[in-house]
Amino acid sequence: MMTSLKSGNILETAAQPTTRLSESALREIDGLIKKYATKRSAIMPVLYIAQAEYGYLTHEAIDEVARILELDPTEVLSIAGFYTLYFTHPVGRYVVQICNDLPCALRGAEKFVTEVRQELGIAPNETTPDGMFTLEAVPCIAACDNAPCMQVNLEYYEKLTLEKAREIFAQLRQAVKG
Amino acid sequence: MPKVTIDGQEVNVPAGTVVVEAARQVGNEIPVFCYHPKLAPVGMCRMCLVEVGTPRLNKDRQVELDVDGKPIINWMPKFQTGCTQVVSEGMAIRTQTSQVAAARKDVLEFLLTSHPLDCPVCDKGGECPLQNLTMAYGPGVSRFDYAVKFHFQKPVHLNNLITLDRERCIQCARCTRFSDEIAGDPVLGFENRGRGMEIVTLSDPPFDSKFSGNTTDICPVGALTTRDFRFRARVWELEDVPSICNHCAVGCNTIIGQRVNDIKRIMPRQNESVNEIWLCDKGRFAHHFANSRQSTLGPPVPSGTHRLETPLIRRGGPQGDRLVPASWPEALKLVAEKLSAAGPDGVYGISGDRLPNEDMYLFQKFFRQVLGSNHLARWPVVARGPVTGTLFQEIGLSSGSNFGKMGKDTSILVVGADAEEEAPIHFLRIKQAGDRGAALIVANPYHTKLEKYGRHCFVYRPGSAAAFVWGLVRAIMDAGLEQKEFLGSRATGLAELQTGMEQYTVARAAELAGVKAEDLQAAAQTFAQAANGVLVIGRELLGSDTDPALPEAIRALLTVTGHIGKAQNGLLPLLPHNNTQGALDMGLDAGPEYRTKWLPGYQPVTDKGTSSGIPASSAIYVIGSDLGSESDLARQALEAAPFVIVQDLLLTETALLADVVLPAAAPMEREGTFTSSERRVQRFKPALQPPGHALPDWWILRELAQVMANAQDKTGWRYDTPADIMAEIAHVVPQYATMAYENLPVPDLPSRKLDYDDSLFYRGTSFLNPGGEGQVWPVKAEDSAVVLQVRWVEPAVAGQPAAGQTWLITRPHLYDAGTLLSQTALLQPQMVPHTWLHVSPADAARWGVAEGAAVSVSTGEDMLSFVVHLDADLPAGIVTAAPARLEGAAGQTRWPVNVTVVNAQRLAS
Ligand code: SF4
Ligand code: SF4
Ligand code: FES
Ligand code: FES
Repeated sequence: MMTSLKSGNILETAAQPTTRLSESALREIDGLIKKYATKRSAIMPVLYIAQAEYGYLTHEAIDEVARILELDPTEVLSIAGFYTLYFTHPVGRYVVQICNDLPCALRGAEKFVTEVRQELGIAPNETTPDGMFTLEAVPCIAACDNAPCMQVNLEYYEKLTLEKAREIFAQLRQAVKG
Repeated sequence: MPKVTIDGQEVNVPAGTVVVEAARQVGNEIPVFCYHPKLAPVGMCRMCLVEVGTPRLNKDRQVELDVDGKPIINWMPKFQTGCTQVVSEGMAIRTQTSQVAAARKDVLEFLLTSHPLDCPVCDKGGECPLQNLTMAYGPGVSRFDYAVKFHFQKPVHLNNLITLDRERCIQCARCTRFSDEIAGDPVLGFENRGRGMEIVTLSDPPFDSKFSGNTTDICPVGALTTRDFRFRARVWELEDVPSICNHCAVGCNTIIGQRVNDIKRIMPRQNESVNEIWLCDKGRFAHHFANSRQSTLGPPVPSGTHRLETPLIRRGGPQGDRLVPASWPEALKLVAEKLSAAGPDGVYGISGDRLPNEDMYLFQKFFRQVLGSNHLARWPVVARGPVTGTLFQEIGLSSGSNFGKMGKDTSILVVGADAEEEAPIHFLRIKQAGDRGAALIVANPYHTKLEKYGRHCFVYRPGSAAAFVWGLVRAIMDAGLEQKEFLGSRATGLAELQTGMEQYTVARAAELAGVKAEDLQAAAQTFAQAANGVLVIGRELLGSDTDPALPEAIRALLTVTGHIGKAQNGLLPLLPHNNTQGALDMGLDAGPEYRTKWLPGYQPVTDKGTSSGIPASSAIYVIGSDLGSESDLARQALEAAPFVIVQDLLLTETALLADVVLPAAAPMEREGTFTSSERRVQRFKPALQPPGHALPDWWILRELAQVMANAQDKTGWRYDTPADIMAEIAHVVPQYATMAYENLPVPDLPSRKLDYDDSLFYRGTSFLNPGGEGQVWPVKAEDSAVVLQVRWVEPAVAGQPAAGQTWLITRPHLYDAGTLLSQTALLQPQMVPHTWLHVSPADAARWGVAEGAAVSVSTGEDMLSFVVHLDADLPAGIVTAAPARLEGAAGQTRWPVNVTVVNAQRLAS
């Protein structure tokens, strides 16, 4: 093992063999770090950037973020592992999170989940073969008043029906192709 | 001091106290899991829920009283966690209501939702807080369906020492907080949330910490267990014997858990002045040398290293000379004959520095009294050069000092020491002092972990420590920060010092040491202005060939700052072995020229009979040292000697060169005392029976003396126990005047006390230590009549590396692959072999070598072969190797030394 106590500026650090982040991502991260009093404070946005570049937070992604922020990878993993919008396993391009908590369930969320399941042909926590969608049933996403509702990556969709959902999925597929 | 009322009982506690601590003061134990007095509170487990109220105030902010004249309490609508709730004036707390009882019951039911209830096979069973609190407060049945329990694959190995059983974890975060806050290794964390939350580590290697074993003590359940103890005994079957760690000079207090003459585990015993409630992993796991004939873990120990069970005598035979078993009378008779025949000038004694005081005292007495010879030396050569015992006994860390109490008013200057590698628990406590506000100043020729906590950090040129310390002295004088009043009455030579230093400006010192002058000035100011100052030095400054200016610079620095003679001040050397200090005290010291320097208690040698170098034709008697494996010079001397006696635990390489081998008992097989770096004399009890016919060293020496003194008066050699020997030491060695065994009590734990007072640890596992905290002998400077002599000696600057040069220096490692440590198979992955040469990536690139390449380097006089190990933290131009490898190397080389690569296995490119 090779250990390091000291590391220089992040561009130099990241220039080690396992780097996967692009030049532009590294520059963006550099800018982010400058906004905070300590490097550690930039961890959340930096993880988003890494997730976007790596697809999900692989071991290497976590190691790279740790190196940049001068943290132990374990500290980075505990953040990534706590929040549901960081993924430490492979996911589709879009993560479809449908709320099936009590208020939404009372407004038909469970039936809606079943319909989406059939529509996408996958069970919760699975990904479509084309790598487009991962389906998840999640607790309250704070849009109970417009149930059924779902969050796709960072976008919210409310007062849903199967038809609406079909439209949204089609649009997203289109967006990727075009 | 706010006054609070707990279940109707009033108590005044310091502001900032949390409710559980306040309750403890009135003997009310609020159950906890995650709270630990040594860790920051987090309120994770909810076990400590209590009802809390504060006095109702009227609109004039006066306390409203009821008809009985008592304050009316506003009870908070919900329970509060007693471990995070800080007391305030007039606060009322209820811990015994039916609501609290119900809350405790519910919390336990929750904590047990996914618990596998496998107490019958759990190593924590019998001393488990979860078991105990469930019995005391929990529900008899659970409403959770067995089928919806979370299941994890059974144990996962966090590292090669610690095992995690995720189903048992109650997510209290004691292990993560310990690693992060106390050890400074943030390598344990939680992944996921809710019932799926689990402990993870991603460091490389995993759970990379020298203190990992402590998490198993404070884990309040059986989630963390050691590979060593796992499934090896039930805790109630163990006999717990108070002992002292024999692996380094910190002198951690331990409990040996023994069963059927086998060590099942080693646990910390609380000593707030030494190790608090912690141990390093070496101290906890490296006990297998004692039972190395019956290793049950990992690969079998290398052959030839099993414990010696009978004396051996070299005898001729058809297969040539061989060591064959012999009886004790036979072996002793032969030794006695040979030593008598050799006469006082034909014998040479070499003692290791790991033996108890009693044995080293008898060894030197045997030589000086029975053989009439002063030809004695100590191995290794550490603390045998310019910086040595006389300096420690003059200005050593004063008695009454305690790193656990150092904070804002203290500055700790660490020079030439890698505390974590040399004395792990000292590292931990220096770091904690820093966390409490002590100003740490760290200076080394390479980066060390302590720098993370340092206020001023320096990487000085190899060999320039004296130049560096003199630079601090000069900066202090320039700034007029010397303690004039103190100096007036306690020091002489100041004027001469000032004149001598005229030319030696801070700029000059900075240039020689390769550091910035203004940094030197800032550090000097910090150290001089602190109310208390401690100077910690390590292996690098204790070598036999360090700069003779060093002791003078050290004395001057501590004298001008007044950091001597009072508690929390003075010099702490991180000595290499558990009883190096004891060896110095017992008069087992010799200079680099192998000349005995003093008698026990630093009394000068006045008679004739000291020798220079090991005389070529001496009979050599080696006790407790494997110098033959460490030093080519020593090996040659042993091979050349007409008769060699080796007394040790194992058939070491040195023992293989002997004519007679005498089997000795290990420290845990007899009683005795060790003296730590802080000069704390601590007593330990026997835990095991020695194997076969092995005997304690003192016993062997006594028998030998009696055989040899046959016709003479034997009265001096009637020792029945080590206590008798210590009684004599107390007469002979002034520093040990109060060290008779009756003054060094050891707690008596005859059988396992399951009802031990665990409130301090909130039911983590540890052992209290009533009375058994040892005694520190005072240094000369503590006597206010003693006047210190300061003297200017120009530093001899060795290392001025020019571009493209490489300097080889010694660097100690905790897991140094030494003779005893190597017997513990479990620790093999941690080991740093003596063959390694640590090289910076820059130098490796320059030499064209990769990790694992074989290289030979030349010092000009000697040629040394190594295997390259890359170390990203090493400054370019510096390579390091184990002290055991360099200090024992042939030739006259002095370290640091400029080396050139002679032969390197190049990168295949
Ligand atoms: S492993 Fe033990 S100490 Fe660590 S969080 Fe779980 S229960 Fe607590
Ligand atoms: S710090 Fe030293 S004395 Fe303490 S446990 Fe570790 S090796 Fe033993
Ligand atoms: S319960 Fe579904 S969004 Fe709140
Ligand atoms: S929440 Fe107070 S002890 Fe755990």
